[in-house]
Amino acid sequence: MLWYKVWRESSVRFLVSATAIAGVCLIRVLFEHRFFPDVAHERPGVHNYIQYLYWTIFGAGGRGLLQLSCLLLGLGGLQRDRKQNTLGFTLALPVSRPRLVVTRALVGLLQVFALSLLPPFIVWATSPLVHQSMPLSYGLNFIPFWTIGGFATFSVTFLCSVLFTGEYTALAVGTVFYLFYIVVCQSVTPFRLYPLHVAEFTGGRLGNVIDAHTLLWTGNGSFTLFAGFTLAAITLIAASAFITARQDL
Amino acid sequence: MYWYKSWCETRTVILLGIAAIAVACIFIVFNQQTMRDNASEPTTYVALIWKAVYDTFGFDLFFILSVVLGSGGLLQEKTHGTAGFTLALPVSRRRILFTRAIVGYCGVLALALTPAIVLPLGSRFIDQHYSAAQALSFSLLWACCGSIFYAYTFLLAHLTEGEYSAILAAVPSLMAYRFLMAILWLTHFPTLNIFGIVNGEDMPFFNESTYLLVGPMPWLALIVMLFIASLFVFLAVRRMEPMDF
Repeated sequence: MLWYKVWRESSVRFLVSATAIAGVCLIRVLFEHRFFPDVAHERPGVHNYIQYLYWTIFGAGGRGLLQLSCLLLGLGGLQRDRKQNTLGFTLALPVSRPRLVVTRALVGLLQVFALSLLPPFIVWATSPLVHQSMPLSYGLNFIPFWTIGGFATFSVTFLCSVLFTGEYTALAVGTVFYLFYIVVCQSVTPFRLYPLHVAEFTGGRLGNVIDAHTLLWTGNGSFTLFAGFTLAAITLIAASAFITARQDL
Repeated sequence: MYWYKSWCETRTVILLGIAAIAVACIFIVFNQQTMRDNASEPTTYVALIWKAVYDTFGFDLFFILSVVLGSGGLLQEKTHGTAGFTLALPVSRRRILFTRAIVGYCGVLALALTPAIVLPLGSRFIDQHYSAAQALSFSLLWACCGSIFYAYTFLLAHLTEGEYSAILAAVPSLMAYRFLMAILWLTHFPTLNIFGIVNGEDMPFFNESTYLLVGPMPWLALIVMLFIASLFVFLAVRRMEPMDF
């Protein structure tokens, strides 16, 4: 019942996100002959279809849309219920506040996972239409990276939605914080030296799991990275549950 | 009175946005040497400012915040059950919406002007120079293109009722517009591409070797953008006037 409630609250956001990601994949594949010269011009290392797909879907454009979707999916919760004057109904349910938070987080994780499934299958199925091909295994390897990286992104606005009461404040604060975090990880020396960049992790570029030149999987393990980003996401969700349990709503 | 109400509803995002863009500019200016050292090719200070502020990080912030500012409005108030209080005020719906649109757009203007103030001042502290005229010209481009991002989301927020649905519809549709500009015959008309005009990329008025605005500004395109933005707001008003709450 609680799962269904959470799903109903976020289904529009999820479906719009899924449509947008699927749309980007389709456009990038079906109009590959139009986009390829521009992409090759912008990124001199792009010489073949797989590299093109990486820089337009798996490692850049589509990945950016996934991150934005995750930031939006993280919103909601009891603060929104309070704004909509439905908080009493939610709190009257015979479940604890931490359970409400955890259910919302788990539904979010499933939604991020579902979004991660889209690009590999869409690209694999539609590439033959433009006389190209991508091995399905190449796309499937991105699923855990997109799921965990997306979940870590999700947890940022998830925490913001617990902390901020304003209608769009949580989204604005979460997005601004996230963009700053990305830039700091990219360019500030102590942070740059450690694998903290969640966007690069989502695109498989941390820990040399994807070769920087061929953009093919190297076969290197990345358990530590997965564990690190999962732990970061769980910590933020746990903090959200802790704060929600003590909040005067 | 209604101006104050609109300000109270949007001030958090506006003030947060100004602070975020200012901090982003300061961060880029004071961290410029490290960023230039890490760049894949030798980069001048002016080029770095263009890439970091007007092409990627700064623009991303501006774009997202413009879209967020455009969200909200009477339909979202309906969802929250507060539309009745707003509509009970002794002002017409037309005035309510126009006031909100103007206050929100003033926020977009403030966001667009922030780099023009921070960049030239910040550059002096590190013995670099970034022309105030250049920064103001880019702010003008941001203000006009931002009006489209803002007004388009404003219109969507008055067409769709769900929370965040305006943002969710605005971002992918603007991305689709960007794709369309790249693949259709519209590529022959670069001034139709807002995402090109906003930072000058591939435009005749922008020099891609010096990263400076050199030619005359695309005044006609900018005026048309402001007109289209006004049209979006007008359509939102027309949609709200007969609506049964």
